[in-house]
Amino acid sequence: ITMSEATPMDTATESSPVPAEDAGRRMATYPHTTTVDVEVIVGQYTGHALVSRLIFVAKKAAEKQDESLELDALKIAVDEARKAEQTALYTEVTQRINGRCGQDYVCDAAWIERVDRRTAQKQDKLESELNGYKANLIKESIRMGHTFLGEFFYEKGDLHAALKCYIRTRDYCTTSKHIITMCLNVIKVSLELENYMHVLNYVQKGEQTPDIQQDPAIMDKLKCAAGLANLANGKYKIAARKFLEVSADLDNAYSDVIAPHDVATYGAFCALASFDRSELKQKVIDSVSFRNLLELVPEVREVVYDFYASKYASCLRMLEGLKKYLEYDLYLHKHIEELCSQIREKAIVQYTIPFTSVVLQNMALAFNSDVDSLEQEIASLIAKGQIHARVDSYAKILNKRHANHNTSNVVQTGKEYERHAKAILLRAKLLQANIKVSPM
Amino acid sequence: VQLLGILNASEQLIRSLWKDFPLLIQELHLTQHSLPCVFFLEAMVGHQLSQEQQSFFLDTTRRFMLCADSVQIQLAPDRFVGVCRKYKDIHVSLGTPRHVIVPLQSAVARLQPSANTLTPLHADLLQVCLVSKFYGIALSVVQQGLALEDPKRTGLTAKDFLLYCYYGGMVFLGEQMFADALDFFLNALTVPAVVLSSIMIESYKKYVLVCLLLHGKLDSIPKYTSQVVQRTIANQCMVYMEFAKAFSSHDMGKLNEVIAKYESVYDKDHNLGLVRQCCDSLRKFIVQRVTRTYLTISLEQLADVLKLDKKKTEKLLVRMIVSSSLSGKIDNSKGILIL
Repeated sequence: ITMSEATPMDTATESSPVPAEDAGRRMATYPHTTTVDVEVIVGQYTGHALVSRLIFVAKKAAEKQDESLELDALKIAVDEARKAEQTALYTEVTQRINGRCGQDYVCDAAWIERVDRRTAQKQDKLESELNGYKANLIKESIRMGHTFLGEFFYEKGDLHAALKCYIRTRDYCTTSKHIITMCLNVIKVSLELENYMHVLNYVQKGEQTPDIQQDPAIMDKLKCAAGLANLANGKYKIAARKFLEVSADLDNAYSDVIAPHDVATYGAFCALASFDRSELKQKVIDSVSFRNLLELVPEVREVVYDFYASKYASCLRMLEGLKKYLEYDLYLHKHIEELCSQIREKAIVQYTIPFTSVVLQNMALAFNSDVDSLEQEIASLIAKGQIHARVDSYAKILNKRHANHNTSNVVQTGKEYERHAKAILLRAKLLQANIKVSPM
Repeated sequence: VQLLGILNASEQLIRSLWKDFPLLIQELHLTQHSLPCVFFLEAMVGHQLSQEQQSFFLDTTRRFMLCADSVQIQLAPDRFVGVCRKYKDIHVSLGTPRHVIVPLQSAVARLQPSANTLTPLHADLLQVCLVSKFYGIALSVVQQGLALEDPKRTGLTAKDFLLYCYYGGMVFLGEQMFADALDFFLNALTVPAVVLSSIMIESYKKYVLVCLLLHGKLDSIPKYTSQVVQRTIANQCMVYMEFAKAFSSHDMGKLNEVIAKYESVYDKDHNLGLVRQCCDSLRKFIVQRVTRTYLTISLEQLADVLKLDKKKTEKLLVRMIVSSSLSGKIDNSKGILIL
């Protein structure tokens, strides 16, 4: 696998995003796993997704005290904010930069005032137009009016107002196309607001719209959104299923929310952490469409194949490497620890399945860890009931053993029932006699 | 019954004449005229008694309780209960609770409309037995399996019932019969309630500890408990909830920490003994968990997990093996436990 080296950060080149046709070339190569490449981010996202990811990268970089990365991300964010005339965002980002990048990137108050005046004018105009439409009672124009207003608020960065406007268009939607537009708009804004209940609701609404099953592009978008929402809620299995249903034709169609290589990464990780072996084979390895997506992220693909082939040492090593990169990812950073530990547990359990006894020494070699910590991990997995074996701590061997089953369960349950029934009868008597604890 | 009516009506008069009772009572026969005696004695209850009056009261009450007429006192049960309570209180404060037991037993027998009915005095009887450490008598009382007939005839109130359950639980604890104790505390908790009673809170604290001791985890209170109890009881016992959390993490270190932190609180609630018993039981649970995951384990590792030194660990294991709660062998030459 050839990996492109991180290109040196050069402020002069980052004044405009890479045009769409270059983005296709960029997607074929994956950045070096230990550094975050701001250029690549710029190439894959547009609009709000780009800005939010840049700011997140900057925040994380500030935590890790990687100043050059932070400043690069922030500079591009400022340029984007200027272009989109988002004054609130512009102020925030320039504050973060705090004068470290020279005069060009200091907060320009005059520019802010000009833009604010212009946006206020535009807002008035749109609102008066909308009132006009409402007076005319033409459904279509009211709907368009609300949508324009919603888009305006979204551009400005006022997400709550945008959401309200989009939701208002619901009453005026007549064709399924209208409904779909509304659903997609609401989903986009809700994802940014991290209101995942809304996202899931509207995805469902969108999927139930008639005629929509025929349009694969829109179905893909809805599936991506559903996957993101489930991932954020920690429901990895459902998220994996959703991501895996996305076809490889997604390309840049949804670039203001998510990029295809994200779909591949999230899908692969969630699948590894939650699917069992047969489902993994069926949905990930044998699936043609997902394979095409996985080509975009060859390292993740290697992880999946190694896991399936039981090459745990290399699989886990690459996982560690990927972890550092993925901490900068907007959606995955919260879940990466959990996912990695789940994958590791699954690997351990899978390793022990074919054996009746395992020498812990060999197993430790396979998992790049020492015998004692591995023993602890195995003990906790046994206690959780995922491995049916017992550890011979003296000889350091894991032995398959069948646990003794308790046949006294029946007697136990019977006694419990008797106690329970007596207690309820007593309470009934108390109620009958009107004995109550009440304020004296 | 007519007499009852007259006495009820002239209650004011009786109360005002309480000082003359010592003379009056000479006239009355304690058994045949039980009902008026009850009224007179009750009138004395509400007042601060001088030494001589007190000894007179105690003496008369004692004789009264031993020979009162059941039919008559059952016509005015709450007054009778009031008299007996005062008698018990005075003795407890004097530090001679043992004297109360026999009269109270007889009083209980006379107050019961039928055998094995729960009366308010059962709670007092249990309390007295507990204070004077006569567990045997108390045990026979609670094991009798009392029925809850006709509370109006015996004047049973919620507080009496709660106290009965609470003291009954404590009696079982004293006899190390944990399952029965758990039942009694649970009964105290499930009494229908509109407000939370402090007796319930104390019962809950003991319930938590006994549950951990017996089952190794905290069972939730049954669904038929009153809403008020369900919602607020955990907040009142935060210290114990922390203890339960530390216990369920099966980590001896954490448990010891929590105990050290709140030792004074446990002591104040007189629960410190129970807490220490829980510690031992946690050790046993940990060892049992070990049997499920290990075939052999070194004694050092075990001692480390249990936070005991090697000798004590060995003793604990020997005790468990002998009592058949653990099946295994100790190989001293290699220093391991073979399961």
